[in-house]
Amino acid sequence: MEDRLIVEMYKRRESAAIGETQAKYGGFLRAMAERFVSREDAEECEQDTYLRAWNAIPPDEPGNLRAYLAKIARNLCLDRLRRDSAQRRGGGEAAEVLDELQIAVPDAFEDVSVKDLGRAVNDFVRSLPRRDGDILIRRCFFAEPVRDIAARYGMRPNAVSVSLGRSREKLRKYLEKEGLL
Amino acid sequence: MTDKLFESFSALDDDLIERSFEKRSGRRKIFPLAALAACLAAAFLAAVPGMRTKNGHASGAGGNFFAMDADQETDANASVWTDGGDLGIQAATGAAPDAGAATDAPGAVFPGASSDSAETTTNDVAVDESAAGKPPEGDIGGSVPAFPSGDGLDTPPDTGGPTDPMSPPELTFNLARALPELPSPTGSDRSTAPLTAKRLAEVWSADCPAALMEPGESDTWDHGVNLSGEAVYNGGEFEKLTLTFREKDNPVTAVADVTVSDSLDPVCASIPENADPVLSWRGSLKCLAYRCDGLEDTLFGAVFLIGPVRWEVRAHATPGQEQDAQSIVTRFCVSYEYNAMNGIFPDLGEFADPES
Repeated sequence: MEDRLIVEMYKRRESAAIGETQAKYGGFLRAMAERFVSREDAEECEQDTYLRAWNAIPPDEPGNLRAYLAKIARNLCLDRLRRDSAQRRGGGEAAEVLDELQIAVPDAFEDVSVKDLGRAVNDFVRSLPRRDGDILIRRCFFAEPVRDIAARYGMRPNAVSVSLGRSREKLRKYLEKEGLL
Repeated sequence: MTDKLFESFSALDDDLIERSFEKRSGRRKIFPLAALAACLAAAFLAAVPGMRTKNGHASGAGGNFFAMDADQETDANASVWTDGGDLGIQAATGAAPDAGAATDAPGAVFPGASSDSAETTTNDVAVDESAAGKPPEGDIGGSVPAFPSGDGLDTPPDTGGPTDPMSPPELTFNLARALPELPSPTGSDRSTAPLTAKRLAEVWSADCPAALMEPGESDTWDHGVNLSGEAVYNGGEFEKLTLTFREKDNPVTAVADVTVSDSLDPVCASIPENADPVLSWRGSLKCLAYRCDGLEDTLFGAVFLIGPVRWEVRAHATPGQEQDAQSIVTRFCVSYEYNAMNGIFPDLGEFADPES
């Protein structure tokens, strides 16, 4: 079913919208969540994503349902990680992404809001060459493994690593330039 | 903690997130055979002073010859040119450069060869010894398929929208079109056989000691009496990368500072004033540096032209283990070539004469 129709179902408060969402994006959301949290938690995050979407649409009217759901799921996963910080070190791709960012941009950003930081990150990603930006998103937003990113874009894993390394370095310089570091 | 930064990625716009789902190919590579064909074509072109081609050009008398790195990423049109006997491929954005620009701006050169024995990869220019002395066969009259299919890369989807600035630019070698116009090598005024693929392989010598560099480490490399290099790595880029040529029994004579810039364009090196020895070959000394960002590694290099000899030092930078992407493996390679056309075989120091 087209996303547009699914959103219309949400707006009409048809509970079948959740089933359609799950049928179309359940696997994607679960796989993504499992990169952040344990399998059990990922399942909960997936279910919570549907609930969150149900409660938010309307008034929300996502133009891109997949990205919208991905954001919800990601935030739910991060919430869970925050609650159980020990789990963050329990492995998983997200922990690796965190470590990579920490090495490249070792700053607590104590005086910067996530909102401001998010705006800067958004602008930064837009400033990158398309491919580099996409690779950074796959890694830092979806916590996708390097080999999966390489497969997605028809690249070699080393090339993806090089791109990520350069992008992180550029990000650090960009945040410095913007006065956020 | 960088958790906040990690979290901030949730603020990415939907369109950015969505576009990342599009399966786009990596930049396509110059097909090895196309690169080899271009080199061979250029070798013939080099015998014809002032020969111009549709998109590219070649000028100057024939002479030195070096192969292109098949893994390098270049943009837009490519021109094969010669510079006082040296041959390269110039990549340019937009219009093809004129002959003067090519010969006067060596910094725009993408030299480099993958035919060295120390690090042969599947992308290397294959040297077919059976092709020695023969012009490239095949679709000589037509266009050379610079990016043939079958390299495992997806074709970028045709979205029908505006031109994607990140779409792989077409790299066209129209030199092959000019081949039929060339005189037969045997009918030229050459007194020696043209450079061949076999010869190309012979003139390269490589010495590529590898070192794993962690952030903050430095590495030095010294190749006997002639060439040396120094690299300082900060974990993201090289803070310092110098490649040095010195003549035997002389102090440092020329240094190419190949310190990395953000630009993907080749970096023109300058020869520092303090590297200004009074040497007999000073007048013919040329030095240039370049950087090529490939899919697998980044190639830095410097070329020193001393009389009939062309020395080249290359530093390959390859990411370390994926789990520790901050580390990097460096390999310094040295190669040389000589003017095979006039039969001059200069003193190559510690190198053996490939003809001997």
